[in-house]
Amino acid sequence: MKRIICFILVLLTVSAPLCGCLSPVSLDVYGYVISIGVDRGKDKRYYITFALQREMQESNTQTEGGADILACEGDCLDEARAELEGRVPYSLSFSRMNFFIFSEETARRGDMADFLSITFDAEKIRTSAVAVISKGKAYEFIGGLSANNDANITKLQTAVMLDMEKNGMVTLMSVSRLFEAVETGVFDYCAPMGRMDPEVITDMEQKKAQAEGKDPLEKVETGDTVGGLKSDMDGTALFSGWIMTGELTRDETAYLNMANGEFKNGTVSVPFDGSRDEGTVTVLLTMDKMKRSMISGARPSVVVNISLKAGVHKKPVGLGSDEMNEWIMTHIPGYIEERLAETFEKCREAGSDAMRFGTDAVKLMKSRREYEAFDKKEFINALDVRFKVEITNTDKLMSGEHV
Amino acid sequence: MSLNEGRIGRAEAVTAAAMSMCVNGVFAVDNSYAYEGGSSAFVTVPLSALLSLLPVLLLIKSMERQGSRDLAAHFSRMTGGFFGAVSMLLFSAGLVYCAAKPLANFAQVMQKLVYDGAKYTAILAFIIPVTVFAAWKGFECIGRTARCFAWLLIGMFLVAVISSVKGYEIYRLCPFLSDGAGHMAAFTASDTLLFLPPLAALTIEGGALQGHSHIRKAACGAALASAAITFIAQLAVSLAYPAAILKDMAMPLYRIGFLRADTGYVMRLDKLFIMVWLSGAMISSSYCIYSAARLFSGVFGQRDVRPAVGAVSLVVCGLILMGLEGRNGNIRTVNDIISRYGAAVVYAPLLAVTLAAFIRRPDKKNREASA
Repeated sequence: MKRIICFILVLLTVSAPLCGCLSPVSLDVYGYVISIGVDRGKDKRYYITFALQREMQESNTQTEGGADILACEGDCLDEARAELEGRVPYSLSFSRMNFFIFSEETARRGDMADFLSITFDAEKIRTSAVAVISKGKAYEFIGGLSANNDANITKLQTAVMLDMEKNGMVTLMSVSRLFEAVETGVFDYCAPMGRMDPEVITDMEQKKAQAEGKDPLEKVETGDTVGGLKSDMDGTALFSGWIMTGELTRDETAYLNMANGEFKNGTVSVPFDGSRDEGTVTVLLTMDKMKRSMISGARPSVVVNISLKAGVHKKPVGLGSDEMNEWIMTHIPGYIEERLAETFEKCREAGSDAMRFGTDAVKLMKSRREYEAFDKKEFINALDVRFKVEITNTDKLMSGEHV
Repeated sequence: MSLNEGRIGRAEAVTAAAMSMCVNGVFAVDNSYAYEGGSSAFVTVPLSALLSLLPVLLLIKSMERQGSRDLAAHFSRMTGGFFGAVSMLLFSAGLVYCAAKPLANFAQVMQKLVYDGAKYTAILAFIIPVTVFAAWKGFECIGRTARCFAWLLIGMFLVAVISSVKGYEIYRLCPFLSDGAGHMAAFTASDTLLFLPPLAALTIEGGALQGHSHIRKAACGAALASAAITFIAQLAVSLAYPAAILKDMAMPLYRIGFLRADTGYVMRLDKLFIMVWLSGAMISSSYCIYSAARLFSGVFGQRDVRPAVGAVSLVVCGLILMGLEGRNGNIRTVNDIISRYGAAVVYAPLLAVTLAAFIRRPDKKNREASA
């Protein structure tokens, strides 16, 4: 009897999740917004663009999928949403939101503070969404992301994010980190910088040409980019508080990631003996470990020890493995240290603690008063940073000549 | 007689009490108070769980000395009819609060983050009947159900904590324990409101637990287990978010997976987690409702616990709805007052009855009968 009662109880308790059946909502009642673009508006404060995941009509339909784009002006997200919902037969849902895309103009004017003052819980937006800064207009960047008409635009977004792991040249921080940076004032946010290249010949354009019986590469000239998306990530936007104050290139982003311990893999091409005419050495770097030692005082200083594993991908013709190994050990660490120092100076000039040294300074603090009196800008200006890079050549035992 | 106590082992008793304490210590903590001065909740919350053990051990000792079988008998014998009833009501208020607070928090988070446009009443319509049904069936049923769900809850909790490890940063705890001893001590003392009632409720189920020695061991086990789990939960949350953000955040453990930008859909398990944790909150509330009803029945000599279960459930349901539908400013003020000073209301009757038991000469007849 007791077993039956327990069984019934377990069944009843397990049925609790079925409370979703209270207000069942069909999937097509919602339009799932996956990206929101924000530009300066003409009549109202913002021009807001919504990229919606287009649901597949049939699993075997190749042409369906991709994104629907909706846009209008509004003084805030809710106003634009209300206006657009009157024009479409569904409600906009933000529960699958991945990207906020702000134009560089809005980011530099500090409009992000106002726009992101929405209640994330009320809008059902996860704070794991990423803020991307678009070099041109945000709506153009969104258009570039969906120009290929790929079946699953969310997958494309994920692929863009995975660039960080593949080549280390994209930085990725969630909006929750932006709030943390601004709220605590301990470090500064940095966002991936996106750009849209209208010259890219997309897969869709090639398919169209093929369908018309033309050569898909008919219009291609040397130097053109062929295939893939029109929009991609191109560096990092540096922030000081809510305001964008500078930017880093893709290469510099890799060094920023190294200094933050977020670099995983990436290649670096170093001119052999100072001149590219002598050829370049291309090395695949893999992060081994990163350690920072902060010393507080009148002039705070920090030593950043970075340990990398290097594998040679390209070397000058005729160079032996022992010579190559010696060259790597003597030249690469110094080269990377210089680039790291340059990247740090660029961040400092922008008044940004993108390398998050403030978080190391906080670890040395002993009292709340000290924490509250912490002035990030003063700290960054006074900070003395030394980078020490150590390289392990993983090709040493596997050079081509011995195989 | 339908007191529905049944007979259960120590493991079930530990699980029921520990589950209730953990649910309160993880999902019902007043974050605006806990993180007011810094990120010390990972020390103060488990400390509250351990601190609650002391008055409970003293209470058990006093019951042993006087030969009281359970808390209801102890209240009646030590403080007399009227004061026994008053003491019972004060202590039951603590149990009712512990039953209502986590369910209200869950309903709020589910309404805000899971269900679009669902009303609180609609969400509660699925939660409350199951909770009341378990309480109606009695302590044995609650204990055994708690044991069935314990590993699932612990497993989901660990998955949530471990899968978010990449987002943890040590600097968020710094300056380390800088809240000030005064604030930490005050919070630790007031937070016992969430731990003392479910832990002391074990003494209400003296009949089901078969002796003071078993109650004592179950209380020690529950206090230690809940201290360990609340420590892990609060530490994980403090490593994931700074205190400045945590103090305004509802149910941060649910949002622990919101940190990472690179998760995609695969790691979006938060909706699954909340459903499993909700099962724990429902069992916890059943335990508190049943304990309050059993105490009421014991003090007033009722032989059937079920009418009292119905009455307590109505009070709990009313409180949850008041908390959710009431005017925000008023509710926040009341909640602030309860979370800061409510512990005193629960401590007072327990300390009074314990003191009375140590001052009064032991009743030999009762002790022999109890032995």
